Amino acid sequence: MNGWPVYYCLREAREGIARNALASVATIVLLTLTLLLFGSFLWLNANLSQVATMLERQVQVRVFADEGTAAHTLLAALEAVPGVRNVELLDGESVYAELAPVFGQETLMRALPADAFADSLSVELIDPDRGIETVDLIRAVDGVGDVIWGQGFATVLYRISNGLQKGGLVLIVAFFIAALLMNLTSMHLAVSNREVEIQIQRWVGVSPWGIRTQFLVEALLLGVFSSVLAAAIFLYLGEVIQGAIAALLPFMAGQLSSPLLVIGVVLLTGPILALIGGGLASQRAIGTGDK
Amino acid sequence: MLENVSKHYPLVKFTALDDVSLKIDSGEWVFLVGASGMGKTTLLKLLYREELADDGHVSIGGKDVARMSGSRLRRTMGIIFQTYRLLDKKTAFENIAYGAEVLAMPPVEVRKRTREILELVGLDKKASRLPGELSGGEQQRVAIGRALINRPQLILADEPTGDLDPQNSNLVIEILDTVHREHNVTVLFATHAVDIVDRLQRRVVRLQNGRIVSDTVGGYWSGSEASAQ
Repeated sequence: MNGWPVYYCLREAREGIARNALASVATIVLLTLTLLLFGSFLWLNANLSQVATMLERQVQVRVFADEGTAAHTLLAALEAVPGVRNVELLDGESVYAELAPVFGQETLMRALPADAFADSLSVELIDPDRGIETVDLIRAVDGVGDVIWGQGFATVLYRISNGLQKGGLVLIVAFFIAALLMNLTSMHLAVSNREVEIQIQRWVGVSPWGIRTQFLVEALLLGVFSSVLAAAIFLYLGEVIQGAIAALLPFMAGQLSSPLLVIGVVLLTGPILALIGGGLASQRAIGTGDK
Repeated sequence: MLENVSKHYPLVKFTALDDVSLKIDSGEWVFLVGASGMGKTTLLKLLYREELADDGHVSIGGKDVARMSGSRLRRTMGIIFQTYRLLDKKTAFENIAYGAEVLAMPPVEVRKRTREILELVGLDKKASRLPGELSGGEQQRVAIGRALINRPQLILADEPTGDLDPQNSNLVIEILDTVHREHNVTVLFATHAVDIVDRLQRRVVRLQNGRIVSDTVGGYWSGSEASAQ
């Protein structure tokens, strides 16, 4: 072998794609969309899980007292709860004092009622993995009102993540099937358009696999092109989305996973999907038996 | 070599070949003659393994065709048909070269052989023409060139002059005769063309209703009265 078959296959595949231009473009568009959707699904899912895990690991719990109960009266009771490391009183005035230099005292006074910042207690847990049990014990303490804890958000995020996994999976499968069918149709057209070439190749003694190679290379090119396109769009969109999230929710900025791994998966998935389409279409038309 | 070969098409209840035996020596030129539907094309198809015999054995160079892979077998052959089957977007040069390229022949060798073949078929001045810019005879010569580029040991020609005028038919025969004589290539030539068979005076095998009714040397009608072997 001297590399000539590869050159020949690429040349024929390029000519084939050009000849079958409309179907090829349709395949690339659908495949790119599918890969984008697939990549977004993976990335969103990974990030939701990651942020949820981060929130779940948070050991700070904010406890507000019931109406009629002064927050400082709960200090001792909360410190006695098993699983609590430390309890600190945060009075509303100190919170107000922290915000005033940032927003301006007048603005705050105009915007918020005088009792906007109630006293609260910051509770540090010993073991975040036993957080649910400890928080349940805190909630059971007399005089305790709202309990705000990262894991509360985490549960919501997990719920969203689960919903995404179910709904997204159905959507992805539907797009995958559509992309595969489009690829199959495109490759079927390619095979039909080249009936004479196939016949000539059979007459001069090319094996069925040899004939199919040309169509597999063509499918592979479509797949590679689609994945590169999808990866480029994803990379651009990823940065835009990350920027937007960082601006809106600064605490999450550092927590988002890099899209590079997802891009790698997208780059691999496109050619595989296209090869499946090309393989099925060429097998139907050419077969593998060397009659 | 065919030994007691039969081929039936049960769906249409037709027997294309019925107990046919035929031995062709290496380097021989044999005409297969007979009216349409008498089994000429089927006999050729059995040789290039497009079809398999229902009964009997077909062998080439001592090897049983049924046991060989079709692609390996066809690499030793050049197959020519009445229809040219050229690639309309490729030039005469590219059409001939295509036959070698698909078998992964190195480009330098492909170019060298293609130029030789173009000269042999008399189209070296029209190498860059597309099939649509060539006459029927010239297109058939391109198809012959494509069949010859891999230097076959056996040429199977299924009425290659069927669509050609006498002048172009003669050119086709001249090309095949040159290859046959200069390279000792075996030629099995199925035809209706009386004048060609008469002029060449070679071995003539006549098929009728799927059986060989005569096997003689001479003109188209030689041995036509002979009984089946």
